[in-house]
Amino acid sequence: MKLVLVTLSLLVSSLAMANDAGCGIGGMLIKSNTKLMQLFAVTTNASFGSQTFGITFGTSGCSASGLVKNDKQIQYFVEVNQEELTREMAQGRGEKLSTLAALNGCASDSQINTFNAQAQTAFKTIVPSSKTTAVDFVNNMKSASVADACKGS
Amino acid sequence: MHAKVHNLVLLFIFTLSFQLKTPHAWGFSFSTLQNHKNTYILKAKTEKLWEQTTWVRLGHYEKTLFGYQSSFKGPLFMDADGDSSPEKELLKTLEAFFSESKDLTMRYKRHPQCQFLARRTWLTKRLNIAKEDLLPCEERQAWKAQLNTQSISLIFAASDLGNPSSSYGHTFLKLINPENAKNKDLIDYGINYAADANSSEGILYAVKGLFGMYDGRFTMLPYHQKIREYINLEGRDIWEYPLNFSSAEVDFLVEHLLEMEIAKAPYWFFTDNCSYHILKTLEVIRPELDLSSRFTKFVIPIDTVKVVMRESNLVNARIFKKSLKTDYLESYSRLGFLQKKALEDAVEKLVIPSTYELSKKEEAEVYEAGMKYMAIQAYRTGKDFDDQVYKLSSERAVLGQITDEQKFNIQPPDESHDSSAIYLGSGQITKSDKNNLSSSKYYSLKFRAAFHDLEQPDFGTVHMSQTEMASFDFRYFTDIKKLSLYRFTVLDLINANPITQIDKNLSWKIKAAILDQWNPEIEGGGGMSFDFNVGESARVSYFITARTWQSDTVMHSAVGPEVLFMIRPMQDIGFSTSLTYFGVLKDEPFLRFKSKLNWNVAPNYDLQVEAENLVTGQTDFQMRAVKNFIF
Repeated sequence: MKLVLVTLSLLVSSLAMANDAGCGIGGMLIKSNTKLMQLFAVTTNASFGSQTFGITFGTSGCSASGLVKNDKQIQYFVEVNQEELTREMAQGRGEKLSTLAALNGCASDSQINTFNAQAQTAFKTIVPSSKTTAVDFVNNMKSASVADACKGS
Repeated sequence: MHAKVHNLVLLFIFTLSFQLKTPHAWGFSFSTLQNHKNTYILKAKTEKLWEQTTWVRLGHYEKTLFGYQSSFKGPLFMDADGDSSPEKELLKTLEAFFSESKDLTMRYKRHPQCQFLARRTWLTKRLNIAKEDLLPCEERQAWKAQLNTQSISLIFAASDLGNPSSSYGHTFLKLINPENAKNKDLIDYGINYAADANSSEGILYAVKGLFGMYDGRFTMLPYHQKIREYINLEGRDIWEYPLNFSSAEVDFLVEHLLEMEIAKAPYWFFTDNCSYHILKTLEVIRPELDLSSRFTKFVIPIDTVKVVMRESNLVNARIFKKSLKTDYLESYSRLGFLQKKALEDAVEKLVIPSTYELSKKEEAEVYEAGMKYMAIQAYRTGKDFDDQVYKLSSERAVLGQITDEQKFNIQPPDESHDSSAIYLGSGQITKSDKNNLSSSKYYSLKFRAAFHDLEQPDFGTVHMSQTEMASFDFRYFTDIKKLSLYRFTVLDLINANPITQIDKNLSWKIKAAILDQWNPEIEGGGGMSFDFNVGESARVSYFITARTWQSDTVMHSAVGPEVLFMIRPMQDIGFSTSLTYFGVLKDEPFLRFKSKLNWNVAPNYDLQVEAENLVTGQTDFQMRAVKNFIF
C-alpha cells in the first residue's frame, strides 16, 4: 500500500512539475526484519542485503557513480531521513534537523536554531499529513520560506 | 585523381589509427614507452619489489606454509596466479600499465592504470615512473575530487541494548570531507565490508555465513543512510573514532578502495569478517601498522577498536551518536511519575488528557518520549504507526522550542573489559551425607573465548546480561591427583531485559555445556525482569527454567521456577544470586543455589568468589583471579 502511494505520488509530482521528481531511494530501503533475522544479523556481523551496491555503482535519480549530486543533497537527505526529520521538527531540535539547516545554508549555531524554530512553527505546512512524500516535504519547506531562513544573511 | 584517392585512403588510415590510439594516448612513440617499461620491470626485479610490505598488503596476501595467498579472488588480480604470487602479479601489473592491449581495458571498463590507482601511486614512487608514462584518468580524478576525502574515522556500531548476542558490534569506515565539517558530517560517506547475503534465506543464512559461503565485498553509502539501519532498526549506538592519518595516506586509501570495489572474498562471520578486513585495509596505507596479526582466531569488532585505540597516536577523539532506542530510554528515564502515567495514555489516545494538569514543558517531554516509542514499535513489529507518530508529533510541535538536549554520560565501549579471559582458581567440593562430611580440594584453570560474565562491569555491553561462548574449565583434584576438563561451555547467555511501564520485554536464558565424562547439560528459561533503585543498579528476574543433564549414564530432566537477583552496589562490584526449584521426574526435587561476586580490581583484572550446590548435599566453593585479554 505504502509502495503504491509513494509510486503514485512520485508519478503525480513528476507529471505536475518539471521540478524535483525525487531520488527513488529513501526510508523504504529499510525493511523491518523478523526477530530471528535480527538475532542472526547482530550475532554474525553481517549486514542486510539492502546495501550491497559497490563503491561507485550506486545510481539513482539523485546520485551518479555512488555519489550524491550536489544539487540533490537536500532531496536525498530528506528521502532517507524523513521520519527522523519529522520527529525532530516537532521537537524543534535534533542532529538531523540541524543538518537540514546546514544544507539550506545556515552556518552559525544561532542561524541553525532559527531554522529549527521556523521549521517547528511551520510543521503542519511542511508535513500536512502522515502520508506527505519527501518531494512534497522539500517543496513545502521552500514555499513556507523555511528553506530561505538563512539565505542572504 | 589517383593521387587524391590515395591521399584520402592515407588520411582515412591515419585517422583510424589515431582513433584507435586516442583512448589512452601517451603523447609519444610506443617504442619509447616499451623502453621505459623494460627499465621499470628490470628495476622491480632487481629490488624484488613484490617482497615489500605495501605490495603484499595491497593484494591482501597472507603468508602461508608455501608462500602467499590472498583471500580475495577474481578481477583484483590480473595474472592468472596473481592471488598466490605477489611477484607474478607485480610484473603483470607493470606489463599491463604500459600496454596498449584492449583486453584488460575492456575487462575493467578503463585502462589498468586507472583501475589500480593505489598500485600505480606506489609503483610510481618506488620506480620513479616518469610523468609522461602516466595516464590522466580524468574520470577517477574527478570522482575523487568530488568525494574530497581528507581524513577518515573508524566507526563502531555498538550492541543492541536489548540483545546480548549483538555484543560483538560492527565496524566500518567514514570518509570525511572537510567541507562538511560544520553540521553536515552526515552527508559524508561510509565504507562497509559486508557479506553479499540475502537475509531472507532464513536459517540457511546463518549456516552459509558460518562456512564462508557468501561473498564479502566493499560498498559505499552516504553516512546518514549507512548508520540509519543501526540507530533506528537495531537500536545500536554509534561511536566514531577519528584516525590520525595524513591527507596523502587518506588519498592512498581512497585509491585502494577503488581497486577493492571489484574484489570479493568468502565472508566468514567470526574470522574473515567486517572488522578483520577493515583492519587489513588500514594496514595498507601505513606499512608500520600491524593490527590484524594481533588476532589469532576470532575477530571481535570491539576488540579491533581497542587494538586501534592502543596504537599510539592513531586515535585522538571519540564522537557519540545515540540510537533511537538510547534516545527513547533517556527521554523515558527523565519523566516523572505522573508523566510516565500520561505517556501510557498518550500512546493509546494520541493526546494527553487534561486531567494530568502537566505544565507545557512536561507535556512536551511526554510527547517526545511518545513519538520515539511509537517509532520503535513500528520498527520492532513491522506495523505501520505513521498516523500515530504523526498525531503525537503535531501535538508536540505546537508547544514550541521548550525542551533541551540533555547531555548524557555514557561510558565508551572501548573502555570495557577485553573479550577473552583466563581464570586461575582454587576451591573445594564439600559432600555431606547423613553421617559424614567429606571434601576434596582442587585448582582450576579456565579459558573463556568470549565475552562477558554477568557480574563483570558491563558498560559498553548489554546491561546486566551474560554472553559466555566457548569456555574450557579444567580442574586438578589434589586428593586423587587427577586433571580433567571439568566443564566445556558452548554458550551461556542471559538476557534480563527489564519491564517498564510501557515496555513488556521478555527475559530469557540459554545454556549448553558438556561436563566431565562427556555428560551434556542443557538449560533454558523464559521470564520477566524488573529494575529497582538500589546502589548503582539492581534487577530481579523470574524465570521458568527447564534443564536436562546426564549423570552416571542416566538422563535427567527437570523444570521449575527460578529467581535471579543481580546488584551492582558500586561501580567495581557486581553480585548475583539465583535459586531454582527443580521438580525432577521420578526423583527427589532439587533446590539449586548459585551465587557469584565479582570485584573489578583494575581494568581487565577481576577477583571472583562463587558458590553453587551441584546436587543435593554437595557444595562447590571457589575463588578465582581473572585476567581479561584480547585473544
